[in-house]
Amino acid sequence: MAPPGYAGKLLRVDLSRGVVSVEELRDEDLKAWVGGVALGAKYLLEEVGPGVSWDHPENRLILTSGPLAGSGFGGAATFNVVSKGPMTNMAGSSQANGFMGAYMKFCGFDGVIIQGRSRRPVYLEIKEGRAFLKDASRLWGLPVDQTEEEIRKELGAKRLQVSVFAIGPAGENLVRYAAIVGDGGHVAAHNGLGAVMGAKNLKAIVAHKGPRGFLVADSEELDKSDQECFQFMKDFGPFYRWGTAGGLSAIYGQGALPVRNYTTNIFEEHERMNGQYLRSHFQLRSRPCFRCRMAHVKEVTVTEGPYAGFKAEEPEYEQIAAWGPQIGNTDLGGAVVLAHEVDSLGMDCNEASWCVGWAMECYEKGVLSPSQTDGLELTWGNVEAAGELLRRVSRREGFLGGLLADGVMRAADRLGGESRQWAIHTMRGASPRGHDHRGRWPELFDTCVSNTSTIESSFGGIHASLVGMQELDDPFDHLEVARSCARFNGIRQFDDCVGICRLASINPRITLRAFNAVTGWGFTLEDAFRVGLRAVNALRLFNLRHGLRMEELRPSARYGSVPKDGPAAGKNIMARWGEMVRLYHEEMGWDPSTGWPLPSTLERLGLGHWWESLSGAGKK
Amino acid sequence: VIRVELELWLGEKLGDDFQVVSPIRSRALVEIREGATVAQLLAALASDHPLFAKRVFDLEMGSLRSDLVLLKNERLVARSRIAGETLAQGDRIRVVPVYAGG
Repeated sequence: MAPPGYAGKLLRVDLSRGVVSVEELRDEDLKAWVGGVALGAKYLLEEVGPGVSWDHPENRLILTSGPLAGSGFGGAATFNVVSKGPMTNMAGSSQANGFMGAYMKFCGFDGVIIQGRSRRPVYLEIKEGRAFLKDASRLWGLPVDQTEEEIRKELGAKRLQVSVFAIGPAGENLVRYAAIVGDGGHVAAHNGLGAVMGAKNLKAIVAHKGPRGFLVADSEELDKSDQECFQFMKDFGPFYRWGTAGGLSAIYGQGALPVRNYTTNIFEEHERMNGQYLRSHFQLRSRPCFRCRMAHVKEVTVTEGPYAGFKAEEPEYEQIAAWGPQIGNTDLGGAVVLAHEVDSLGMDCNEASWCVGWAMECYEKGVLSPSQTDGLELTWGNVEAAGELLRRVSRREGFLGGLLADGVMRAADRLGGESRQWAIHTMRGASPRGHDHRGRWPELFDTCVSNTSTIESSFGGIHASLVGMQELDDPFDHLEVARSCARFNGIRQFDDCVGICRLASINPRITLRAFNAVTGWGFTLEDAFRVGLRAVNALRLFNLRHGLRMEELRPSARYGSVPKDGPAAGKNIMARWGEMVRLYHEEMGWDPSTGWPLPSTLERLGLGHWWESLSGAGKK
Repeated sequence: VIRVELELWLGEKLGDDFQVVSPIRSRALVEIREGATVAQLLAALASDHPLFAKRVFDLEMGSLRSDLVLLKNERLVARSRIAGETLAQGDRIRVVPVYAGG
């Protein structure tokens, strides 16, 4: 029998052979890797060897749930996707909320490993312990929202009866920052995991609600922790009332809002673009994720401006930052329209907006000519032009559509000249989240040194006190930032193992209480950190085996530049970058100069046997 | 006595001295003795307004709440320097919560 919190089974899908099979999960593996990112990292490391490119059939797409998903704990239905991704050619780990994490488990699976490549477009249907590959030829080319609708029609299922995650045209056309999008606008966005699906000819993954079939060790304790969590989150920041965009102005106030591709930090219109404005001017309807009382996910109808009457999912903070200040747009309705567009096309809004913002800067400075944009007037804030550009990118159409489809780093390399100085990315090609991280150093540093292709340690070096650590004294102190990223690393990866949404549960101690209530395992905070660090080190091993070079652990010129105005004006993170990286490695138990985990570190995490498989100059 | 401007980006009014200027911002002009520090200013307000003590300045610990940052004249002040940071006539203090976005 599976341990409490788990279905105890893994679904393996071989698209090349058109075969699905079921594997038992061993209790000791579940206890060591828990679920989510860690379980995904284990399989990625074990099954995808060096030399396998992101679009090779032997690459794996690994979807994993976690013990809290579907348990009834508020908003716990998150799933994690791990694969080798096209943006970095390294590991990628990304999560999406909605219903999939719960429904997958209700169908009897803690995870799904997809390998091979189908000869024709298919979608995967998971239903009560079984799975089927179905023809998706007629769905190929459809945007994500229509795909969801068509699949539901085909299955005769209402909205909450199935969870559907799909790719749009971007994934089909192998746009490097294609995302996996589903359940009305939830997105596993980072490192082009949607392109991996596209390379496999897999259009969608569908899970039926299914009967709940797993044990909970202590239901009463779970209910109490759920109540404690809800109270904590209601009082935590503006999110319950105003959604994630309720923090937009505060982010601006710290100098961390991205404005016109990092050319300035002044955006006086921020109070007409934040969640407070949106929710007090536009019409809203609640569309919560599975059993979520925070219910911050809404459907919104624009009520003013040129897009009045437009209805879509309410954009999260990062979508508004992307399609507002980052591209110089001050019409909130326009941001809602572009947020919907990028989701429908199936792209990561962060990278898409770094691309569009960069193209607008190139256009303004005459580096991109009107003939190269095929007539698009890419002036700052031109919502219509941005929308058309996104559609062209998703089809790799025209000079600019093709140029931007591989992400801003590769686009700038191809266009060349000064434009290379304006692209926002890490030197491995990863997309920063939707902030100006020059005003938020911990997240800039974390994004550059992480192994997940996005933040790994934290989200901005904040909330350390929730696990008994000191908050940052000076967020612009180089060495303090590096040290805190290392010391905090692990606990947020543990979050990404258990099947919860971070917004519904930001307090690690409450999450741990709920985790123990479900599993009965009595983990301490130290145990939770260890699981997270096991995932981090497994992904570092994977990346090293796949050619990670230390000189790539840095920001691009613009990403690491010095802001000229706003609260972070004059702050230069690059002044001591080398020292930061060395200190970080040392604190992580890695070789300071090579970044390779030390044998003792691997041994402590139960990964000692991997040391022998490593080779190369970094191994001392 | 000097006069300084204190702006809170906390989305709520934390005392009668504060004027609401937008859904997220409230502002007060505060008089305090010359040579006073930022911490002394915050402590004085926290003593007068229990909500201010709860949300902004922990009187017991003598420190800014952990989820906030403080800027003086648009420059961030490290937490450890708030106690010793001296105020001058016309200084602008802004208190902003730290959020991660989503």
